[in-house]
Amino acid sequence: MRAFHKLSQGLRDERAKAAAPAVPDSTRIETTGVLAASPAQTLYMKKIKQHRRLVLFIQVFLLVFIIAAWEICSDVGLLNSFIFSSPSRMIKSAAELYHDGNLLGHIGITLAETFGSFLLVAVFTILIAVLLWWNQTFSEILEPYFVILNSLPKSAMAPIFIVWLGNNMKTIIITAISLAVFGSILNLYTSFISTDPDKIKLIKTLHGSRIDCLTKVILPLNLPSILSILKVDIGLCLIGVVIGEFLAAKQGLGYLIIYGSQVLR
Amino acid sequence: MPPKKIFLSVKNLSHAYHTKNGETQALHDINFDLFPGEFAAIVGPSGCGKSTLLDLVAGFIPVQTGSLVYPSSERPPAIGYMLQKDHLLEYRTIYKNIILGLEIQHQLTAENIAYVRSLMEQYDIADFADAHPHELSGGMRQRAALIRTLAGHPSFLLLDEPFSALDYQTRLDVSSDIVNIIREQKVTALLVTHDLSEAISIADRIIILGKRPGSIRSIVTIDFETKHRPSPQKARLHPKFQKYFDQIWKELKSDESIS
Repeated sequence: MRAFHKLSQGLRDERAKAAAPAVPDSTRIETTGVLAASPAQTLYMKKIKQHRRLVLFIQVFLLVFIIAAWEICSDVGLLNSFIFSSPSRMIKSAAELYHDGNLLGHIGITLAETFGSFLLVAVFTILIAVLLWWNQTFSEILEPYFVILNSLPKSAMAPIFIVWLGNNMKTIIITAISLAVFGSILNLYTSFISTDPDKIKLIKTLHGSRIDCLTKVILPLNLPSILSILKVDIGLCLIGVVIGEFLAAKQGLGYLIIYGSQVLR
Repeated sequence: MPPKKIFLSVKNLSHAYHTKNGETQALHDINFDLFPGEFAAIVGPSGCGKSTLLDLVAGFIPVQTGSLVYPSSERPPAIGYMLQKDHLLEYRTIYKNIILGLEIQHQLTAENIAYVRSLMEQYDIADFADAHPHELSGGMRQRAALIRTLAGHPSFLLLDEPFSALDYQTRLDVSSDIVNIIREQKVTALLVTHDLSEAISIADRIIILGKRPGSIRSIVTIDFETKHRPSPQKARLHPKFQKYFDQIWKELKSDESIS
């Protein structure tokens, strides 16, 4: 959410910058009602900045507070640190893993698999959602299939993927993709078909084709939903990759977790 | 006097919609002619098929029965269509919105761009070329939408209640503004509206449709007997305005369908 906020803020800033040089003469200022730098405007900008600083401060404070409280609670024995661990123990074992367990390598593998599957999910989601939007019959035929595929328990499918694809990275990536892609397609398709029909009529009135509807209206208008769907997808891909690594890997964070839990046992 | 040249001849036009619940007759046996350079309006109760008629003329829906003929030209004219709202796209600047049609048609020639720029100059939105739609007032947005429509050099304009989304005060200003532009451009225009006084203040002729299935009740020529057609705002103050209003109102009332 925060990242999105920053992004939209950034966009706004950029837009403001782009608009700035176009406001040289006073008539323009009068007609738009935008005063370039009156004291009130400066005050307003200052208030916004202050507010952003306050939010950031409380966010950082919360993080520090939670970690410190955890550490103190386990130090004085309020929490059983063998079961709940503690920040210092986590840092210690991370350092140990880093030295003799190749922690960075495991993280790197998991990240690479996550981003790889995320990219594929993004491409499939947009392509298939566009195809479904393009052809109504096509979407009528396929929609129930996507609903069923989406509701399949993917973690239960992973062992089957191992049988089909082998005990390797392919299985992990397919697991991650299967977890994210069907729901995303359904969501994006829904968002596509609920686009204001008058905007599509507008393209018609300008003698545009269906491809113009897609590139000039559907895709740009739905950019916020595309972004929000992709944001959810990256989390789902990570979950899928870790599930895959639980079952079919010799590297990666999922593998480390299984390894650790077996040691604990 | 020689017979007037006809721009568009609509003959025996009927149209039905099909839904699961059955067939709905939207238009029944519509016949009228439009003359070159004329500003005609279609009025009628809601659901009488006004918009269907416009969509048929625009070619958005295929003609089922009857015909649309342009007797004085070999090819159908370039049609410009204005929707109820301006539908300016927020992610494009005003200039980019205005050239949307040219972009779609791959007609972004230096000549067309110069034409668009001159229209923007002429109608006072050149300063807002790089602004985004939300920065403009309702009237300016409507003007931008009109220039977007005019950019493709249409000789025939279809207007589907283009002012209905504006509040009353703005609507009076904007409609005068838009109508003046359209008259300056000397195109033939067909306006659909449910606002009777708007139609009388703007149009040269009013085609009155009755309730569903829409058929023509009568066609009234609006003539204020002045040398130049008065502006919509002046027309509203003209003594003949009320006479036309009452006449058409009665016509519509006889249909028992005005609420």
